[in-house]
Amino acid sequence: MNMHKDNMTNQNDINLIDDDMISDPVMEAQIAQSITDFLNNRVQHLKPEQEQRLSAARNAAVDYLAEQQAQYSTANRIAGHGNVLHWFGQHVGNNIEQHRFASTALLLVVMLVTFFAVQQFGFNNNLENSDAFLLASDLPPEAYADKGFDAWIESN
Amino acid sequence: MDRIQLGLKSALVIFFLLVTASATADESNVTWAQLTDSQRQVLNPLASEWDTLRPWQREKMLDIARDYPKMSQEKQVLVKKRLTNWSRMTPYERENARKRHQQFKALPADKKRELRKKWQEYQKLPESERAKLRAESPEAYGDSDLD
Amino acid sequence: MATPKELSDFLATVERRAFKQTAYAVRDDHAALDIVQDAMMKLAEKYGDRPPTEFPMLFQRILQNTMRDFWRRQKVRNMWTSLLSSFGGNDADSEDRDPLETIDVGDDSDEPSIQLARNQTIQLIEHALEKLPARQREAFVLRYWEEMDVAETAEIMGCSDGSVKTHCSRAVHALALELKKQGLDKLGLSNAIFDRK
Repeated sequence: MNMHKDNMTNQNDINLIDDDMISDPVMEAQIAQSITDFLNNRVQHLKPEQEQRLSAARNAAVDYLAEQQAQYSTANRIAGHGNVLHWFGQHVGNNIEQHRFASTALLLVVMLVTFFAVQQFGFNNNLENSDAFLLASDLPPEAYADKGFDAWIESN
Repeated sequence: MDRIQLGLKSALVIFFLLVTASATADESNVTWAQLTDSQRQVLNPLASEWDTLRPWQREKMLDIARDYPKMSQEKQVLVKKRLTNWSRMTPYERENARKRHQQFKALPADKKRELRKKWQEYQKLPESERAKLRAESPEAYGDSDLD
Repeated sequence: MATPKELSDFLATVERRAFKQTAYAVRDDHAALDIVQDAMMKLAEKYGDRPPTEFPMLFQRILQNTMRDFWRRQKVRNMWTSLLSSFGGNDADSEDRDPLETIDVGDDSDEPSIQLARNQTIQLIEHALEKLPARQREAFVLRYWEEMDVAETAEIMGCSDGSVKTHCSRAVHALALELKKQGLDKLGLSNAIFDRK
């Protein structure tokens, strides 16, 4: 192992890589690291259309999750109101009819509430982070808003 | 029977439409008294002027209250200290500040430090000079992209 | 339970690597994008209720499975194309593109010649990766690129820790030899390897 290190520093040549050296775990990790460095650099240069596809796919998955969670919370709320529906249903009378009615209504409600919840959520999510982070940042908000400060920095 | 059911169905749909619609509108229209205790605690500096804020301003402030508990103690102190001034800035200034803050966040640490130092120096200038600088520089943003 | 924001952040950090990783495996950029898209959706559908700390493992497992499904479909299709081409006569799968033309080079501030050398290096590395046996590539990507530990890699690949180690060292071995064969010492990889310490 020491001998290999000497070789490396003296000759600096990839042709010296032989089976022995690669079977050394440290060496293996080093070669792997160099390769992944190149790969990481590579993924920073994707084609614009590929980037777009990826972010569209990401958004679709995220929207789906948001919708699911909205539906889940709505379903919980509906369960709490089950008694009202039940009471309603009894007044309508027919048990089967009641069931059909309740499930249709439930479906409609879930759809509606999901729609609004998703809209609402999507809006909030767009903000990424609220003004709270601006207020807590290193500079006071006045510093960001003061155009005189901008001009002064530029002239300095 | 069917007619009753149909009537009930549509009534229910309309009812829920109304409920959800009003719920989404309400969100930004809550009065000070309607806020939760934790919201009121964060937004306390704004108590006297809350009911005069525009709906979208309230919405933004509620966002602040939402994110406030996630922050460290010292950040929370800063938020409270700066909240009043923030609410009194014009929409222009606020939008300008948001964009500048985004730019600031992207700067490397040493640049940030430098800017903080510069801000302190700038504060030491006489107010007349600062006012002059402000008057001379053009408006950075148009009406279109505010709040 | 993960919030949509947490899912979004997670996907944003892994999506580029996931895409290239898949592209090396299936050798088809379009298919790779489809696979990554499917995997993202499956993660949201099935595991949206899991904490975000579990996402890296889950996502990799889904991605590998989706790729495997792709292979299965691919085998059927390839059988068809070879069957058809034996009738029609022309070989459809001669997509020997010039790699230097297809890579999308970002504007690095580096000197052009250095950038060019680096692109050639990248080309060779990508080519070498594509040529690896599937299991070796999988092990290499998970262990070294996704920086998972041996146990995690083994769990995703469904094999023992020992064979992860074997796959990894064979992969690195094969990559290094392939790169050496291509004369990468002239292209700067040797420096990249030996300068690091």
